[in-house]
Amino acid sequence: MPKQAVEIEVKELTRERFSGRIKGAPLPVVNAIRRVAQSEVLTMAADYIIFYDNNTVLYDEYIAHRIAMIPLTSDAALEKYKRPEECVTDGSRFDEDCYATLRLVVERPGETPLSGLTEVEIIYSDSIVSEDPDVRPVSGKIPVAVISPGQRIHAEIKARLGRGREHAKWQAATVSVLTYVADIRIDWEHCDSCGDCAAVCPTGALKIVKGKLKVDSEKCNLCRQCLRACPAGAIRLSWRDNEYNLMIESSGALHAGRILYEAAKEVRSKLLTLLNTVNTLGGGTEGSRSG
Amino acid sequence: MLFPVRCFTCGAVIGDKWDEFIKRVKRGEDPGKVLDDLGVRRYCCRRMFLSHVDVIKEIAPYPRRV
Repeated sequence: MPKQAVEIEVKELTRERFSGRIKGAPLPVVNAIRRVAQSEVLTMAADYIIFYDNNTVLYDEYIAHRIAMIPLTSDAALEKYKRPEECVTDGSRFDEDCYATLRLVVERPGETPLSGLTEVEIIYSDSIVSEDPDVRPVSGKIPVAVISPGQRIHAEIKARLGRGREHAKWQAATVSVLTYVADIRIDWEHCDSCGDCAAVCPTGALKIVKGKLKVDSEKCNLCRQCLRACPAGAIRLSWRDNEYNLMIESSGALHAGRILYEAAKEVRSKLLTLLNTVNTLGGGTEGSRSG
Repeated sequence: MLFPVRCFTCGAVIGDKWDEFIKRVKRGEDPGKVLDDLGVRRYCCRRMFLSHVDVIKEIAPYPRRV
């Protein structure tokens, strides 16, 4: 097969979201990138949380779980910290190359009332202080816990790199979707613009404008309602080869463009590993040359 | 209890949007429009806001024994 140039037509690229059309790459490759963006791309998240003190109404586990779900900025951390395979801990010692340390220390003066209504204060993620400025909560406005007068929380948070397939808290891309690009063809000899197709089209891809059928393939989601509705059988619906829409939504830990890049890199390294294994089995030409 | 940090279904971060959502809805704005403004597009995330009951203030006065 001749080498094809791969083109990416970017529709949206922000930290939160990448949306675009990938042309010239086969479906299994684009789909592998989509899946890897969710399950393999590394990000930072809290793994161990040590409570020195917590006498609030919420249990340690409840607060720990909330803290773990808060995405931490990971763009610089990818180069700084070791991969999860290289980090083993029994929970008593934390290697600095593996774990970033963050702290949640809050206290409200006063006396805890034994009963009756107290005004509670909500603790937000901006109270979490990080020793590493590159690893911090992506938003300071996420509610973490509540605290009444006379109560305190003192927790030490150990965050490390991890993958979405281990736990959802590490998912770089929360949503990652691939869709086909529709190709609607109208047989104009048989189409009389009766509008039956436009009436059932849920997305507005088919419309009657000034008595004539207008087609907008971009809007089509390939539901095929129009094929059933058309009395003349004048619509042919298929999708374009090697052209796919990809949408990646970031948890905020990494820039969406970075997720796409890291995912593509991961797919490549997986393929190279496979290639090397096949090669050592004597399956490749390189193997026979050296052996 | 507290508003969830993430959407149960898709995992998008929503925790940071609750305060503004409830403030504006209490002021009389249409919840759907507020969610549009906050960039909450999918209905899995939208139901997190619409179905949340903030009971934390009701359990907070009863401290557990430590």
